[in-house]
Amino acid sequence: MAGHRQVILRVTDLVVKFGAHAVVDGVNIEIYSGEIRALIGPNGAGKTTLLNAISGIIKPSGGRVVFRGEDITGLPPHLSCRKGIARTFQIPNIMPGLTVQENIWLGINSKSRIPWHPFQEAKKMANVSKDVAVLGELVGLADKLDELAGNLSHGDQKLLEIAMAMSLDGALLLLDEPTQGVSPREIDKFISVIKKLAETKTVLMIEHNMDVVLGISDLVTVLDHGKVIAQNLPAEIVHDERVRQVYLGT
Amino acid sequence: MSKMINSWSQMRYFKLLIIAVVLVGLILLGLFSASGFLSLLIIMIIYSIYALAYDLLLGYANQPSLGHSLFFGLGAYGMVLPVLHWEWGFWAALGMALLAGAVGGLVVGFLAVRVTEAYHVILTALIASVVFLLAKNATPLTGGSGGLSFNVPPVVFGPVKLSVYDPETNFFLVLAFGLAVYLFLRRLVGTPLGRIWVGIRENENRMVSLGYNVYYYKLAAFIAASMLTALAGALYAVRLRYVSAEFFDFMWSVLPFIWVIVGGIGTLAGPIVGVVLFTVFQIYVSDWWTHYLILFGVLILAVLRWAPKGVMGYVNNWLNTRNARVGDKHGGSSASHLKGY
Repeated sequence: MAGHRQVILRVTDLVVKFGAHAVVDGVNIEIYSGEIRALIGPNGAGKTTLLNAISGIIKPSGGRVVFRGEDITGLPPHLSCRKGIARTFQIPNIMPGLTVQENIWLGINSKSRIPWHPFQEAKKMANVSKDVAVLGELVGLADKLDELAGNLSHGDQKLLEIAMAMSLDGALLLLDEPTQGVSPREIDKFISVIKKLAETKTVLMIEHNMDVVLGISDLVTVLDHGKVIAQNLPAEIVHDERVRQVYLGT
Repeated sequence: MSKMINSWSQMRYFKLLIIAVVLVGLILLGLFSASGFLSLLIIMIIYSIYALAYDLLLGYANQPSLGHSLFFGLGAYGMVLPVLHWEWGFWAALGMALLAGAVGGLVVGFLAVRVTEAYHVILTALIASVVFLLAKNATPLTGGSGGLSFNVPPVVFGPVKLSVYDPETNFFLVLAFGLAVYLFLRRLVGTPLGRIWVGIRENENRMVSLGYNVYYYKLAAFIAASMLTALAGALYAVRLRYVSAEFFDFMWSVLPFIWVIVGGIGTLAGPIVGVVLFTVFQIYVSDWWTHYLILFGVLILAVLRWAPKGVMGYVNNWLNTRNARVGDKHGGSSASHLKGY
């Protein structure tokens, strides 16, 4: 894969320190365009912190983040989003008091940059409404567009988050535990959605469910104590002795 | 009635009907009321403009300013000083009042928007308090606590010149401004900018991750609210034909907060309801008990206990729940679109 595709994200010697403690400690990762990369590791390994540093929520203490050839290290999250990095969060991070379509609409509006339309009603913008409907359909929330986001089930809120991230039309999607807390019968829905979005996007995904990791990822990176301890194909990674020791527990 | 409001589009017409009824009622009151009652209505409409401005900031853009007396006073002085010193006409002076509010909003907002919650409250209150003290001491310019009286110039509409010394003219002028502000905000909160403000209110961090520079949007809300507050201050000065440093008093920062909290935060009708409740209480209850504010305090506690989103928030919740039940019964959607409009 590496030979055919371009590197879309290159993380070099990335360090994130909280006080004296390095939560991310010299991480080097290269993500290729069109890839689904799984990031796994035990709790406290620094996975979410790494995603936060890439997306600009946390300013790294050292190292570089290069996205599509541009150094975006320490860029504020709204600017890294505009560069094409969209993300979801471990705990659904939505606007609970707004409807599902308004949540998606806010993403589409951000991408299309039409906030200063003084007298046009947001919900009557035909092109935006169409995009909202398409995204709603894609994640299986088409029949819930009028519901308040806060009233959705946990699984549907996670799907809404994915729709919001997709609405930004970024090149790279950072998914933080997309199936966390989702019921087993909903997992297949998530796998299908992630596969669908990976047809046009690159995905870097933190995931604990090994069935999901093995089922859809192209490559798996394992993090422990802030360092990359292994990186391999899904079928190979489960046989890595160190990974079995620190993460798989066998 | 229950069948009438069983869907969102019908609810929209129902709301428009209420607005029309209230407007016709106000026009009739303007034509046939005694001057004392007219004066009360004028004050309530001016307060409503102030309350709507404050709700735009607190209820839509989630900024709990406790220093808006600054813009109320700036609007009043922006109106009075050009008339007094340079004999400006009504519209030019009003323009200056709005400009003073906008510039004041830009300067204070530049600092205050960077901080949130308690820090925002403290910073805005501090700045307004400093300006209040300065205004009290800058007697040659502001008249201090004694204030400045002025003759309001006629309001010119082409060949027509109207005098605000006539109570009916004053009422209809203020009503026109009140209606314009209400309709403007009603439209604004439905535009992309309004929806972005609501998104910031709901989840500011998520809006950042969606690519919004929330600082600029919050600053825009701060400036817009400051301008409308200045408009209220200017109209209040015109009504009294007087302005003093007391326009900057802390009380004028607390009042809009109370109106909005009691009436219904994040709704457009709520602040007006809050103004009516408070003013009626102030005028009529104070007649039989000097310490009426104690009763009003109890009323605020009761509202916060049983209707945390204010009177209109309670009404909207009730209607939403009812509509959801009707929707479920008829197999329809349980759409809840009322919030924010």
